Amino acid sequence: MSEHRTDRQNIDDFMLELFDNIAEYRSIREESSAALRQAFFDLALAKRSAGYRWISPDLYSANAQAIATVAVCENSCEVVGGIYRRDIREIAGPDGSSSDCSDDAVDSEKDALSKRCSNSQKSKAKKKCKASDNPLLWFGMLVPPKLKEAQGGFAASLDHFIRLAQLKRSMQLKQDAIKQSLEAVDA
Amino acid sequence: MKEIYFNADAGYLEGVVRGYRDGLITKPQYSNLTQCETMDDLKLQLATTDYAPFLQNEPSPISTSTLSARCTDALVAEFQYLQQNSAEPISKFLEYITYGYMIDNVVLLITGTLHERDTHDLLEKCHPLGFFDTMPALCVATTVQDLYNTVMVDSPLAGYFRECLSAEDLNELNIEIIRNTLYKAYLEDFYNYCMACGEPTASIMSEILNFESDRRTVNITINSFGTELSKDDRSKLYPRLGNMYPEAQTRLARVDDMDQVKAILEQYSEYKTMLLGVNLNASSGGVGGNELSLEDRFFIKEVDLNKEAFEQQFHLGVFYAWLRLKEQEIRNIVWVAECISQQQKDKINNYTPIY
Repeated sequence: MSEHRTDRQNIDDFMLELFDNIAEYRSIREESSAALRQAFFDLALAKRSAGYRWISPDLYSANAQAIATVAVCENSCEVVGGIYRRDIREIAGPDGSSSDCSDDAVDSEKDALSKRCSNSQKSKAKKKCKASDNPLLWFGMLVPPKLKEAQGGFAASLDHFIRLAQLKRSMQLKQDAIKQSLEAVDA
Repeated sequence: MKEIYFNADAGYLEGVVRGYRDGLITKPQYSNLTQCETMDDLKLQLATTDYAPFLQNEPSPISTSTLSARCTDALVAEFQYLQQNSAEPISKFLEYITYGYMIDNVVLLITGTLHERDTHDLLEKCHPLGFFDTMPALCVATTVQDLYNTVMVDSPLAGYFRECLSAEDLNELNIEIIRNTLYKAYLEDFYNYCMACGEPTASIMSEILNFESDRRTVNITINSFGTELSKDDRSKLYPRLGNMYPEAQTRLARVDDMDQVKAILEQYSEYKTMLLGVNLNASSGGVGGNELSLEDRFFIKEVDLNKEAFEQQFHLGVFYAWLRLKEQEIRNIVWVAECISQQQKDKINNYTPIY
């Protein structure tokens, strides 16, 4: 009987956590959707200003490298966090509106997940980039301000995507745990 | 007396370009375009315009970049018809117009080479109006001296390179300086040529080119905020003509933010009127009713000047004016397309109407 009570209590706890995750997921998703929408619109404005030939994939560098990547735990395939080749706050916008890209930004749940991952890569390279590393320079030195804002918008969205991936993983784990607990109760 | 003989040399082509002008999209047509829900709807509406032959073979769904490219093909076809049927002095005038596109192509190739892009791909992306024979050889140049000695010395842009030869290596900063220095030299040369053409070409083109120079001055200033471009270098990029030359340019070379730019512009009556109601931080304005940005105001002013060129006859300015109006029309069409594809219907009316 007490075991059933424990199982039922666990189910309740998991359900509450799942609902919290869902609420957070929806909130972040709306936020990132609005940010991306604005960034794409800023890009369209920049193209209109500078010319559609000047801001196009034709000017991408053949040696392009990602300014940020995502660390994934090899064992559990969980997204641990972002790895930034350059300080993302440099390109987040004039009000520095990007989320903090340091390890402090990882919440307790991510810490717990990353601790279970024995081979997690949490290195972080936050060094000042050289001018030629900035993709903005592919389109010239004198780019429209809207292009800089668009870049800032896309860069600031990365942390949202990382959190969304983590929440999705967490929700999946919770669903599995609830299922197991229900099966235990039925048994 | 020149007007009497103008039609003998240029009457046919002036008639052709006025016909082109009559083919520009009107307000009712823009209204239909802005009511489209999908890109296929937009393509269907454009089937009633001069762009129909260039869009009909494009598979659906059409992207905004493809739409821009096909509309540009239509413009190129019409311009090349004018070139092929022109004689002096129109042929020289049309040639001058192509120098601007040549400069863009040169910069595109140099930039692409710096970024190790494939040469063949780059040549295909060049503007057709700016093609010249030695252009493919640009890809081998690594310094400005190489660029000049190997390639540019035999090109129509050779004379504009005089002020660029102090730069050495080709990096992003120097390429931008080269681009703007070339364009500055070209604008000044074109202006002198137009003045030598006599009236009424001289007065019509001087107003248009002075405005173009002022707009470039303001755009260079605004776009240079927060970049490595020094204030001395910035001032060297300003064309030496326009209402802002030399006094306002000297002051604009020293400013650091948009408020200072606005304070300088407000001291000129033609720009003070333009700045009324402008929100310098607005993303976009236009007919849609939102606050107008400075750029929108510049577009509107440019359209007004180019439309005025058609009010007179027997001058070469109609060819330049038509080309700029056509480019604005393409900008409008692509803007509408972007708003449709991004589901930004509240911004769709933020184009610059022409007729």
